[in-house]
Amino acid sequence: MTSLVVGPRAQVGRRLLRSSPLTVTVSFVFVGLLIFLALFGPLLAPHGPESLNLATGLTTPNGEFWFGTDDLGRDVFSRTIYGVRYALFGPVLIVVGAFVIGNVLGLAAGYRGGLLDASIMRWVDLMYAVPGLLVTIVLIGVLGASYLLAVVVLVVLTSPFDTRIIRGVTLEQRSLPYVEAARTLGLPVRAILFRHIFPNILPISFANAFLNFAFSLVALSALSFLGLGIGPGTADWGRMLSESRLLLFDNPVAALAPGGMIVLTATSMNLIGDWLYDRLADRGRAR
Amino acid sequence: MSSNAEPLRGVDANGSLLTAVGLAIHSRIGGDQRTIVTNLDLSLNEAETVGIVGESGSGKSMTARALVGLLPTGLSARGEVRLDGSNLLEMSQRALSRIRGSEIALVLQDPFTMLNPVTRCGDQVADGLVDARGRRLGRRTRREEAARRLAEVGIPETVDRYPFELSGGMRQRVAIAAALAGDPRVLIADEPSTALDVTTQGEILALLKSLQTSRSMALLLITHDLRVAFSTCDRIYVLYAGSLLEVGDASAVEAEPLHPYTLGLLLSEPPADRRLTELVAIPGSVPAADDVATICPLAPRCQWAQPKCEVTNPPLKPVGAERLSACLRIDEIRAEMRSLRHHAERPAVVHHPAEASVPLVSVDNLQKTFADASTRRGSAPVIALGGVSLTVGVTESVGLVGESGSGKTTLARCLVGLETPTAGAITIDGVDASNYGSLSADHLRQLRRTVQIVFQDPYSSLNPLRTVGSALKEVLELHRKRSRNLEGGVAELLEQVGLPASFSRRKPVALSGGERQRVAIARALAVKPRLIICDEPVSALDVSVQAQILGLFRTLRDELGVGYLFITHDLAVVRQVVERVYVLYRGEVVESGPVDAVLDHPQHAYTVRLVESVPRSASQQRPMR
Repeated sequence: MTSLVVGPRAQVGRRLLRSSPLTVTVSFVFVGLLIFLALFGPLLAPHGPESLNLATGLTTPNGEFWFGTDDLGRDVFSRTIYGVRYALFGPVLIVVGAFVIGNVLGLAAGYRGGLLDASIMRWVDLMYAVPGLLVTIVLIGVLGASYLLAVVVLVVLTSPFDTRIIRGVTLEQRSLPYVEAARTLGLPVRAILFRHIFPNILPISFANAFLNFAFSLVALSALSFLGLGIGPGTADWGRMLSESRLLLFDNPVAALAPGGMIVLTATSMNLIGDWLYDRLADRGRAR
Repeated sequence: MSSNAEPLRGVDANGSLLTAVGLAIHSRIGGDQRTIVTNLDLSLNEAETVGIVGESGSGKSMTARALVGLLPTGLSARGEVRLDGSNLLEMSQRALSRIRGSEIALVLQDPFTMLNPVTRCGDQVADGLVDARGRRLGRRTRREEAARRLAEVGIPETVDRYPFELSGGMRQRVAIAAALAGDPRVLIADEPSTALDVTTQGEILALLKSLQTSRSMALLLITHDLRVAFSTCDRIYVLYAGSLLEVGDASAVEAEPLHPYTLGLLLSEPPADRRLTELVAIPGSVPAADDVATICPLAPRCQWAQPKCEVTNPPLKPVGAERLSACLRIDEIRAEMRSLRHHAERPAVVHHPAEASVPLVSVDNLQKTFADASTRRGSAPVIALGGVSLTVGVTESVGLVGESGSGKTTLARCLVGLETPTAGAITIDGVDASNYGSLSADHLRQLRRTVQIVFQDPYSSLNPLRTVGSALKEVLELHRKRSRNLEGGVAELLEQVGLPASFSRRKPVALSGGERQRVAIARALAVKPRLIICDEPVSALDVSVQAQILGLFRTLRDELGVGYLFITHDLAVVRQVVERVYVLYRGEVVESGPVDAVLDHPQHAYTVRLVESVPRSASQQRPMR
């Protein structure tokens, strides 16, 4: 019994929103807030991220310093706000890089098949087998700590996951009659890939990008924590966490604030990604 | 039915075993309530076979499920369903589960998903069996009982086998045996033969009918196929957009339908024994029940509709003895309907185009084997085509008939380069098309402009994200570079397939199945091909829409001179469209020739079986002239 439900796109959109659970709504609001802070944070932060108040020294939260200060007298609240930029910038670079590489390789492997598919997939298998963070640590240890290097290494580590997913959905679309019709009509491969298949798998790679974001944020923060990412003293959450871990008994908020932000941001992105994935995975499939 | 003189248990005053009164089914998704079925009255007598006939969206399957309390989540039923005087709709799930199986059993359409894949067939059948004292049977008795039950459906040897080892028809037999395990008095079969091959379909229907007779149980058969209903049922309910339009004895309905919809459905289903001059189709497609709630549901599609038809949803009222019709104007239009039917059923003469010296497509000893990836390496490859030869002349329509697994689709895919044949030669318009990969760009373009394909599933053959107009424009751009007026070209194509030009802005989701198939045909026509390969182009469509599309194929052929290679399992369909036919069986052509000769006087044993499996009621067996 299939009854054909004809509905305009607006209706679909409304249904999407209405059915989103509270956690997802909260996640969206939180991510919106982060973007706002990344853009306008410096205007809102009461103190500079690096401004030292040696006279004040280490304090617990109070009227002037909402989250207290660290051992150099820097305002934890302001530093947390400035940290949003690093928390978004690196992961966004990684997500975009992995998105491009993953989609191009995945589409090529899934659509072309044969030797190309075999080579790309063996590379993916190899990358799956490599213990990612360990290799990163070694590489950065050899080449010297740098934020950009960390980002590049993480792009290389993340893209195989994207490639595998995109290849899978491309294979699925490739055997659908609309793609076969396009082939029979003699459309060039480029048109079939980018005009027909890509838009239909976009929702899935888009949802996947959110999951990647969460992973990259945690990985970048971990590298910063280990001193392998961004330079010392920078208002980066991972760095702040590492520098204030000794102050846990004097001003616990100095460690809890950046740590909490990492957890909340990663969780929000994961929730949004999961929800998008569930919502969109069926789209474009034959009914 | 009436021959049963002694009163039977659970039979009410009217002799009905199962009755539904004012049954209404609604679905609720979010805040939207939709009507699936309204105000349905139904009665099923002891030892009677009743058919509910309707197209998809009519609500027939949900009616079947409502009767046994198995509506999917989100759907609810109101009204009364009475069995033994108690209303099933008000019963607890616990009480219902006692009734299901022992009183009412259900057989579903898809035999491939209905059985538990990890349970042996014997256990599927005998699992719920209990002895006279309500205890579960012992292992040994259970196995014997299962074997006995499976013998009843003709497959005793399957007791210890798993469902995946069996064919679709055998699985459906196991499902029937399992449904009958509790000796129910009512068996509801929801499209039990639709998912099966043609030759198996007939066997399953015959089995159901014989079980119904030997057990003198009541059988409620849900089907979209009037011919199946006529050949199997005593009485027929015709359901359309959630409302009953006609009720009557099968033979009486077949002799003279008393509702324009039934007539339209009857005429939409082409006969297999002759070609009709003109295919009469009901225009448009099945509406949602809510869109026609306050008018006669058929009014928007009915040629006899008058303003009074659009005032209320007319109830069933008696017309003559034992007949009910929901048509307000039935007394006025009865004579017209009769003459329309008489007119439409005239046989046509098949015109054979003069045999061309060089055929457009010639296939010589084509072979295709697939290395079976699902089995171990080194196992025997699957032979899809074992040396097929055929020709298609210029502007000729040729049919390719066979069941699933006969290789007909593989052949089509080889012809357009979606598969590469293992051996043999394909020549299209003088170009060697055996290996598309090695062709020059010019030859490839020539082939693409000569042969196009239309697929079976209209729902996935269009890109869901692109509008109809952009899908057509894309092809026009590629193949008619010189023409500047692309918009005009799109409108022209849409007009050729009977769609308004405004459809170019629509996306596939806003189109019905028939409309999508029209767009797919328009897309194929955009390159002005000389031959269109049609791979089961109407089998996924509703009956009333099927006739429209077949009519379109005929029109296009007369107007544009395009030829077809028509691939189908349906002999009735092939009869209406092609001049010559090839019968494919297990990858080999077993018979070929003019369509009349092959279908009227089949020579090969397989063709004979195929022709005999077309459902026929008593009156159809004699040619009506």
